[in-house]
Order: sequence, then structure tokens, then C-alpha cells
Amino acid sequence: MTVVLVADDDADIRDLVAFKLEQAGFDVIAVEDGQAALEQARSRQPTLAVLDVSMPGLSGIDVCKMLRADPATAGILIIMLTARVQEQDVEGGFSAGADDYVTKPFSPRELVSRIQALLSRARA
Amino acid sequence: MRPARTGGRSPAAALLIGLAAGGALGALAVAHLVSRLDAETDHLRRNEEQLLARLAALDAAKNDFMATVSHELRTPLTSISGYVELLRDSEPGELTDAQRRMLEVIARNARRLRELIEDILTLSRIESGGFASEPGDLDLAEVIERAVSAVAPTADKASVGLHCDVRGPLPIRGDGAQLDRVLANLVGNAIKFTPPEGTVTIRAEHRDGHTLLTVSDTGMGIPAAEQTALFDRFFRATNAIRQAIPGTGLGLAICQKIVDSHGGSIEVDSTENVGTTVRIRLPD
Repeated sequence: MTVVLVADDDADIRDLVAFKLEQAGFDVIAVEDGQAALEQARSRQPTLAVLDVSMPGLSGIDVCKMLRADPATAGILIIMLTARVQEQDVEGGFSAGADDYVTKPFSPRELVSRIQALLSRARA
Repeated sequence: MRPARTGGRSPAAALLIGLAAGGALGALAVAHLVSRLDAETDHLRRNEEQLLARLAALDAAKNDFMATVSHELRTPLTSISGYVELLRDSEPGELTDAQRRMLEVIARNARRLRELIEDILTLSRIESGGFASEPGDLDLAEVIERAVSAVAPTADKASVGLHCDVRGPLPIRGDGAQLDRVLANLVGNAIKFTPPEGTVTIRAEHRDGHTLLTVSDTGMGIPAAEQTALFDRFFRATNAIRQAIPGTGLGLAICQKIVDSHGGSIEVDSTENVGTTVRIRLPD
């Protein structure tokens, strides 16, 4: 089963994403901050990580950069969740090395299809 | 009233008198006046700079505030619309028809809230100048074409005919993303307020150093008494509210700001139950 890491400090959104992804057949690891995301990414080696941009402590962008910088985790596909739509935030996510970004509010259904698209692109 | 700072005479008059006298006294008087004027000008300039700095700081604070508010509102909204979607996606039979209808109402209102947040943020960004990115050379005919192909499915679904009479190319200087927004708003409005079997016509041409764009519909129109408030923020026509046509009331305010920032003009001509025509004139 494909392992997906979900990091969001908002419990309701974390549960929402985890529920939807489990329903879609993924094995989900859900964490509430950047530090835990980094640890889980290193120990569990997920195929893909869904990271909220604004989390206390390490932000999603920080985590993304650190995952990319470490050869052991550099291959993890990353989708950023952002509540900011300003161009600079989107660019910030991409320059940190994210593969895709989804702005809040998002449709859980759409998030699943973005994940699936990214996975099939990576497999191709 | 005479200006006090030159001792009851205008600086030019004082200078002339000084020059005409030609004597040391005149020259002294001129020198004195000039130095006083310099000091006054410096003082005024400093005041103006301080005022501008304060305005800029206020503007930045407002912008920051809007961005933060919009961010803070998006997070709970994600949960509301996300969980509603999960419920609506549940297996047939798990919910009663009445419950499904209630969920539809929640979903519709969550969408409305989302549009409001987006529009308020857009308006605030345009007002602070943050939205005015870089104007470039573009073809308005292409902007129109993009808008038309984006709304064509909506028009189709509403059984509203969409006609275009665009004599391109129509080269203008402007911001493509902003003009996309104007077109999407105007054509979207025209379709939204037009009953099935009605028509929406988009015309554009170059005339006398201007590009003229008109979007006309055969829709419900705006009551005459309300037309002066059309460009006010959050304005919604009573007939639109009565018929429960969704909208934030910010679309035309946004269009007007964008057209203004392009040095153009926008006007609306409408008759209730007959139709509405919006005219935009953009300079070359």
C-alpha cells in the first residue's frame, strides 16, 4: 500500500485529509507539526507527503527544503497545502522543491485526484 | 486673503520691487524672502514626506490585515466545505433526501463565503496597488476569447446564447490577469442574470483611439432607482436577491477599480426586464 504522510496543525483538517486518503486506499501517517513530519518522513519513507505551509515551529516549506536536501528523503513527492493564494507563497512552495500545491479551501476529492496524478506521473 | 509668509506680498511681487529698487535694501529684502521661502518649502516637503510615509504604513498594515484575515477564514472554511463534501459523497441510502438538501444549502453557503473572501482580498489588493503588476502589450480580442471559452459551458447549461462580434486584433496596454477578471465578471454576470433562451452579446472594436467593449444581455436588468449604487461594494439588486441569484456584490466594484487603473471608463445602461449593457472604453 502506498504510504502518505499528512502534516497539518489543524486537527480537523488533518482528520479530514487522513479520512479521505484512507478511503482512497492509502496508508496514512498523520502528524501535527513540522518536526514530527521530518521524523516520520525519515523513519517511514512515505511515497508522498502532504504538508501544510503554515505550521508552528518548522513550516511546511522548511520541512520540504530539509527533505529535499537529504538524499534519503529527496525522492518523496511533496504536495503543499496553503491558505495563502498570493503568488509569492506559491512560488515559495515551488522554489522549496514541492511537486504541487493545493490552496485552502480545497475539495478532498480534488486533493485525492492531484495525489493520484502525481503518483502516476512519478511512476511513468 | 493674502499669503502671510511673504509679509503681505506675493514672492514674485517682492522680487520685482527688489529688482526695481536695485539698491542694497531691495537686494537684502529679496535675499531674506528667498531664504524664508526655502525654509517654508523645506518644512512643507518634510511634512508631506511624513504624511506619505504614514499613509504607506497604514496601507501596508491594512494589506497585511486583509491577508491574515483571509488566511484565518480559509482554514475553518476548508473544514466546513471538506466535511460537507465527505457527507455528500456518502453511500446512497445513508442520508435522507431532506438531509441531502440541507447539506446542499451548507455547501452553497460555504462556496458563497469563499467567493466573498476571495473578492474582498482582490479588492483590497487592487486598492493598495499590489495587484497592479506589470502592464504589457496584449490583444483584447484574445482576452475576450479566453473569457468566452471559459464561460461557454455555463451559458450552455443555462440555455443562454453567447454571441461574439469582435473585430480583432485589438492591441492595448494592460494587465492580462486583471482584464481576464473583468471579462469573466461581466460575461459571467450577463449569463447569470439572463433567463433561458436569452442571449448575451460581446462586441469589441477599435474606434477613435480607444478600444470599446460592450457586453449586453437580455436579462432581468437593474431597477432604475438602484442603478446609481451599482458600483458600490456589496451592492446587490433587489430583483437579484428576490430570485436568489448568488453573488457577492463586489464584482462590479472590482471591475471598476481595474478599468480605472487602466485609465479607462465603465458605464452601465439597464432596463428592468429588458436587459443590461455594460460599456468599457480603454485608451490605446
